[in-house]
Amino acid sequence: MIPGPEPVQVSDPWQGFNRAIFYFNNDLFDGYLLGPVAHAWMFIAPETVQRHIEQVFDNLNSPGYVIQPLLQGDPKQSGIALSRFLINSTVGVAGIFDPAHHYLGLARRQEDFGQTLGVWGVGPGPYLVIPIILPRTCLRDALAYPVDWALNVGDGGIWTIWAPWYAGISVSASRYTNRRALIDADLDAGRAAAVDFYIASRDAYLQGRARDIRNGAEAEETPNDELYQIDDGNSSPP
Amino acid sequence: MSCTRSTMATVLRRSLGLAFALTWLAAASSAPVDSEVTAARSTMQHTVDDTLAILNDKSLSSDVRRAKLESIAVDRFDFPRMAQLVLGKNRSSLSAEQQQQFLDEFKKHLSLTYGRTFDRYTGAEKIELGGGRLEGNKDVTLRMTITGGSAPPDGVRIDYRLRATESDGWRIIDVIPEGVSLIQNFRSQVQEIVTQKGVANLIQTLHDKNASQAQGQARS
Repeated sequence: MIPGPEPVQVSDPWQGFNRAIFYFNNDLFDGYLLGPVAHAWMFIAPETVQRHIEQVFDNLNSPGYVIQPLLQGDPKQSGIALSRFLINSTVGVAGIFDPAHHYLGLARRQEDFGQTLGVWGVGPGPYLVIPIILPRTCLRDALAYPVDWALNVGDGGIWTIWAPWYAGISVSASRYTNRRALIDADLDAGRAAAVDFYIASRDAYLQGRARDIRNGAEAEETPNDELYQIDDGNSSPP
Repeated sequence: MSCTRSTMATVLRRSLGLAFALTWLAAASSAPVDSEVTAARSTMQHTVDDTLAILNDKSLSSDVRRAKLESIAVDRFDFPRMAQLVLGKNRSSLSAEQQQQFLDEFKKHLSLTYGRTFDRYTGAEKIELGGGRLEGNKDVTLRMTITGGSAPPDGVRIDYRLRATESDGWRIIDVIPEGVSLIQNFRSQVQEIVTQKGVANLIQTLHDKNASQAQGQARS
């Protein structure tokens, strides 16, 4: 049931296109619109407020968090997600608070259909950058996105079918801005640490997804030993 | 009767012998596992304690603090080995001089970025060093969790991979925050830059990056 680590080889045949969109997302969209708006929001709302807002949206993702583990053959995790939803929606006041974690030790685990496909053995496929909606993804996860759009209600937008379009856009934009504010320090650190930010962020995405799919299976937690062999230059590649 | 007794004695002797052999084998195979993980863990615990002592010492100026943290990093990270791992198979295409240049720049880069992460420390964080695992190649991976303070509500998990050296004991060769190996991440960047733009460009880019970052740090 637990797949091995995904191959280190990265497939990025659309790199030219990806880099262009990455430039748009990272330098233009984030540089001139999203970033400044997020900074303004950070000025108004303390981090605690941002976190509670994020938790409300995350709680709305519960249909996905309950269904995906079932498809992955992990009913226990599904039960945990269901308990979290029931407790946090009531005692936790619509998900503003997380008593399920604080008092019962039921930790949050984000699930989506891309991970389920991964558990089923589908590899990530080519890396892909899509404007604004999926700044970092891969073919597998992009194809899975419509399912998550419907099930991960907080992330997706199925409810916008019934809501007026401006309400849908406002809520999505608020959520997006709030998330951007929460990762601000990490984003700065990532940009500072990267020699080639496109590659660094691609690699971090793929490594992170591989880990999400392993769901913390301890033996597969770190990359394989091959990575840690000193290449003395004598051994020829296969 | 005597025959039975001698048979019993043989069986007893044999089974005792077997039990002894099994115990010995079990001890031989399990003891080093524990001792290696324990040794690596105690080194790491010292590193954490020393770092926290510096961070919590309010009498230090930020420059002194930075210098002290850097000296811990130089002491506990195996930078030359990390640089080798990051270069991977590209290492053979670098001259000895270029390898040295890369090591210097890489070390500086890690010190600068590693130093930055401490700016977020508030003093309310709880740092817990969890269990460890002996890897197939005798490295040890240790699990650390940070909760409270600047950490997100679910906490942050950072794994550290350590390798035993002959002269300096256990030293860190990789940092793996939330499952993303720093070595792997740098290696894919190096691979890309070397293939597309060449070795000289790699060293130059790293150099420029360090220069602008050091400038930013001096300003702040």
